[in-house]
Amino acid sequence: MLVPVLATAGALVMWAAVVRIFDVPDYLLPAPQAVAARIIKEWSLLWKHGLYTLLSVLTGFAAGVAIGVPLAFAIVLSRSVERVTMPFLVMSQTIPKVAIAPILVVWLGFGILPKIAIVFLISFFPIVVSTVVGLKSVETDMIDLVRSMGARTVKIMLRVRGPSALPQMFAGFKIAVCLAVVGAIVGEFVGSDRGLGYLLLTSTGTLDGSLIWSALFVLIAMGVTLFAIVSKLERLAIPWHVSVRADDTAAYQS
Amino acid sequence: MKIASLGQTIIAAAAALSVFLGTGPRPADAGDAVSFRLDWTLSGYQLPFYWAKEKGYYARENLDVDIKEGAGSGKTVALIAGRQDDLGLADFMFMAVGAAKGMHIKGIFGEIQDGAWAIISAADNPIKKPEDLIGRSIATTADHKSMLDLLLALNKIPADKVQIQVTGAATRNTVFVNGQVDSFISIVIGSPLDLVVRAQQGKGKAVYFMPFADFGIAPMGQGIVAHERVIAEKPDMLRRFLRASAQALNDIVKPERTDEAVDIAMRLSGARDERRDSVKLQWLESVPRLRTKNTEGHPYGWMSDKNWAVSVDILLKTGQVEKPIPPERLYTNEFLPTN
Repeated sequence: MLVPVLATAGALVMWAAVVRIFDVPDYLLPAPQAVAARIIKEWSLLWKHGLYTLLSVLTGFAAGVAIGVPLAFAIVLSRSVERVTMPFLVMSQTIPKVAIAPILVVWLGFGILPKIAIVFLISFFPIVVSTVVGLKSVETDMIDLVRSMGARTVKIMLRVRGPSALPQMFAGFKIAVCLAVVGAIVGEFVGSDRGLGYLLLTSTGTLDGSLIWSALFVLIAMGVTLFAIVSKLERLAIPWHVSVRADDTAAYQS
Repeated sequence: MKIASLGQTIIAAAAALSVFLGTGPRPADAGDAVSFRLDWTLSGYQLPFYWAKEKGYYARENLDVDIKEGAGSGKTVALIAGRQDDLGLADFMFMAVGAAKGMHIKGIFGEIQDGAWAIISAADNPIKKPEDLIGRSIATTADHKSMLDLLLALNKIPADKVQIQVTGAATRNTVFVNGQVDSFISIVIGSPLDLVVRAQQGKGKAVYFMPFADFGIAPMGQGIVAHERVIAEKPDMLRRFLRASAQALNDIVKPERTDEAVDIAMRLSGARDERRDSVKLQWLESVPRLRTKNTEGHPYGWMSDKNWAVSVDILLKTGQVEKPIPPERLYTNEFLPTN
């Protein structure tokens, strides 16, 4: 715990020193103390816009999980579903979200809907792919064993493949939740009247360096917190897995 | 001996690399290289610079000018402040905000002296006065929002009574045409004239312009921006560049040259053919804005303290600058041709 705190403090001191020594103008890089003061001063503004962005992040991510996980199960259960959906999935991922965002605004208007759609599109793919990989990674011996004991396909899916896939699923969720924050900002950049992306755009337009960095820090805090929450859920869901246990036994590593 | 040999090797390698990267000594007849960054893709008010290049005015001044497209005045100003380009064409309001925030940049040639801001709406449901915005929606880019804020403030319209949507520049006109918003804010001599041409060609609905000037807002428009270090180190280059550019401007204000100037700019910039009518209209709308009553009797590009005072006052009222900026910090007429 002490090491990350010291590293962060060291980075802040270096940042402040660089700004002071090289006399960096505020619009390029404000001093950390100026950013901290601005965060305190504009707290209610950042909170209001942050909540709006968080809403689109959580809704889009939840939609990604709600649709992505069942779709992954369907892909593993049926070769036909895999053949039909996978090309579309890959194509949807190769389209740059920045390019499709303006089209979504034209289709869906200026409300929260296009932001949620972009968050969904950006977070959906890692969820599906990691879940599919997890579900397919179960050892065939295990499947043969439970099948010999009379288990049917659905039961195998829910009792064997599902739990075994959880580590990969959580890896996908962790990637997706970070991408979700990026997606929300992309959506707000294209068209919005609130949100941290809106705040970033308008403060960039007026070269308001300290407000730009304040909004960025709130975004970073949001991303890190969401990642930590998913990690915590992972520890609760799969305490038995080697990736979770490895964290607990790190002190014993040579 | 070994050290000397190593040093020679390094020098030779550096020379070879500089030639490879194009930074090495240039042939004597190539002229002084000038990187000139525009504010946007081809717009009518950029015609003089393409004319000067095509007609050899820059070459005659021993300048090898590379005209580059821009992606908004804000970015052009940042590029000039970072000395990534020698000169830039940008909206002077952005330049002034940058200068107030610590950028070492200055206006050296005021091309469009009246920024010509307007609210553009559908002609069949027009916004004719600021009060008409109440209960309606308007799209604005982030850069332009402060101008809208000023219009609302000066006309005592609460901002929360207007649905203001901040969009990207590429999306703004599309959402208006598609009916997602009732109006948008822009300068008249830019992309709104594309919509006028579309309407004339029967491809779109007629639009209505509500000029800001009718409601007390007439700031400076586009002009040439230079870094203070370029001003200090290359005054002769600036004089030659402005002499050639001003000559081109004087050439093409003559109506009989308009079509040729548009053709040249279309060809050199690589703009799509369907934009031709729009670019021509943009230039025709730019011509009356090359001078104001405060600059009458002076050569094109000459800037007045009075016009700049109006712009600085706008920036103060919108809160974009905290204290008045002295004019000498913002512009100079020093490099303009005298005849």
